[in-house]
Amino acid sequence: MRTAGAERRVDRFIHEALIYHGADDLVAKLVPFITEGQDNGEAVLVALPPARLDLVRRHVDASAGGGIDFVDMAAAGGNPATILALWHRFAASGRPVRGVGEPVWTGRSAPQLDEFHHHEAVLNRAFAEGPAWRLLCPYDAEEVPADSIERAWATHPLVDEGAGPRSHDRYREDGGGVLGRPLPEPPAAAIPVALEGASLRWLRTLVAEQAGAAGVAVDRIGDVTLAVTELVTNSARHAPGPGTLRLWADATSFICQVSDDGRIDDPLVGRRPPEQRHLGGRGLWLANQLSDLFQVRSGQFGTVVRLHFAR
Amino acid sequence: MDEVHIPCANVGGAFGRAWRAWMVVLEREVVTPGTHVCWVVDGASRYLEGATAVLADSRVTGHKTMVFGPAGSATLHALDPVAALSADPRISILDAGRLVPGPMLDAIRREAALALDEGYDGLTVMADMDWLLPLDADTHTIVGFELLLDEVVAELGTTVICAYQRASFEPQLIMGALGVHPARVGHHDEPPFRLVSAGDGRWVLAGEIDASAAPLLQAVLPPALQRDPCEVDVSDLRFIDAAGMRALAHAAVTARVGLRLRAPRIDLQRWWGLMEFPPGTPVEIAA
Repeated sequence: MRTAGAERRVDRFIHEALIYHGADDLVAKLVPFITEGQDNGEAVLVALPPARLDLVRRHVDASAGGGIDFVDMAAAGGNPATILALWHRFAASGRPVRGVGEPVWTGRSAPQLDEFHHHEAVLNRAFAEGPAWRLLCPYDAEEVPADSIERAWATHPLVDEGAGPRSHDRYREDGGGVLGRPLPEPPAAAIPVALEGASLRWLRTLVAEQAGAAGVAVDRIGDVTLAVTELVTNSARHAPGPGTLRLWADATSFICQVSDDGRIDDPLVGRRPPEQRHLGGRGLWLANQLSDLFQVRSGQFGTVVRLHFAR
Repeated sequence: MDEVHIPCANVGGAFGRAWRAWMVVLEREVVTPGTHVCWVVDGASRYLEGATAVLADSRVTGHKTMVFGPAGSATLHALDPVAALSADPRISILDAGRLVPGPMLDAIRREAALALDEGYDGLTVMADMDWLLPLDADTHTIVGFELLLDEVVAELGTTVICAYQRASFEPQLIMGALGVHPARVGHHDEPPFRLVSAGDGRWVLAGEIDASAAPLLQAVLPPALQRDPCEVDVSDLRFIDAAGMRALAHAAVTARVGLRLRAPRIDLQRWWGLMEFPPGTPVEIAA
């Protein structure tokens, strides 16, 4: 087991949670992790909420070792797809690397929070076969809800509560069954559209009208229609029966959902960067990249893919 | 048949001299000279009526007229009085009953040059596409042929009207054919996309391409990708999805031709970037 201060590199992807208590505690625990990586000659990527990022930046020498890249987690957006793509590119750079990512903090909406816990779970699968590197995810026990801390245990094989990272029996291979956990039901006011026999062209017209009426920015309406086209196409291609499109808005988002009786077992669907050896696929990946939040759930209830667009 | 004669100014064409233009209303829509028209027609009598009007009007204005149709068909025979030349392309042009575009396109080039030598002001071709039926060619072959024909029409300035009898062809084939003609007449659904020649090896791709249209696009693109790089104006492309972008990428990779998509109105550049195609995929989006 690696502990802080040891000077050798890992031989596989290590995903660990750091449970800390306030800003000073974060600095005290994070700076040794970062400098250890620099001492190993590793490139370090630090992705934190803005206030934490500034704080940590003041306590490290960004030019030492393989260098440090700082990423403002808030500016990177509320869609875990962006963060996953960031880690993919970073891990695949060919250099020895380690990362720090704090995806869960109080600035997240409830659906974002849910999706970032899902994201934490899929990271284990996403990098299981890839290069060896360490990713440390800080969780502030003083700020985030107790439920989030509980889910951090379920999604990280190693957890550091202050005495160094250790393995534990609260880790769940499937992250606590996130993919099979149903999303909250759409509101009664959601517009249902049966997809059987509906032309994609007609659906795009409808979706564009509804997105505009919900206050989605004009220059994002094309993204909405493209992303929904991909969902509908994917459902028609993979589900045994016809699906249903539902459209509604909440306080912050215009939401489009396609549900069907298909079943998806791959928790990385729509999240894995496109295969570079061929030109196929990419539909759900594109929908994920175009939306502000992409949610997939699949289980006994069938499959639901939900997209959020800021309004 | 509604038929009106609209006086036009002289129009310069590929024939190298000014020629008197004509217009005729076919199926309540105006046909102008020098265009490649897809005419979706209901029944032989309607074809005969419309073709007679177009050819007669064309002759009056000094154009040589040519009719393609199945040998021995009543319509081919009936059009004799208004056509300078009637032919069954299967017999007179095609080799061993296969649809090989080269000889057919060469024949049109020859006839256009001959018409000029004979003192005509232009060439009008009326094609009863029923001549294709015995060839049993698939949609992709026929649409690919029409695409090449469109390039020849643009080059020569001839008028070619391709009449597809609704009863003779699958709706999908008619939809594909409509998509590769710059002009369309008759009662028909709007094709999802149009791919037509802009002359000089350049093309215009317009309309909406999603998973329902992408297979056809991918199938008909190869004959268009002759020049490297090949320039395609996409300024009237209103929508494209992942399947459509894959079709373009696949066609460019397969043809080993650089594809330059010009002047997109939609957010094509960003969408294309998000697709993360393999490095070296020879497609460029240009302002």
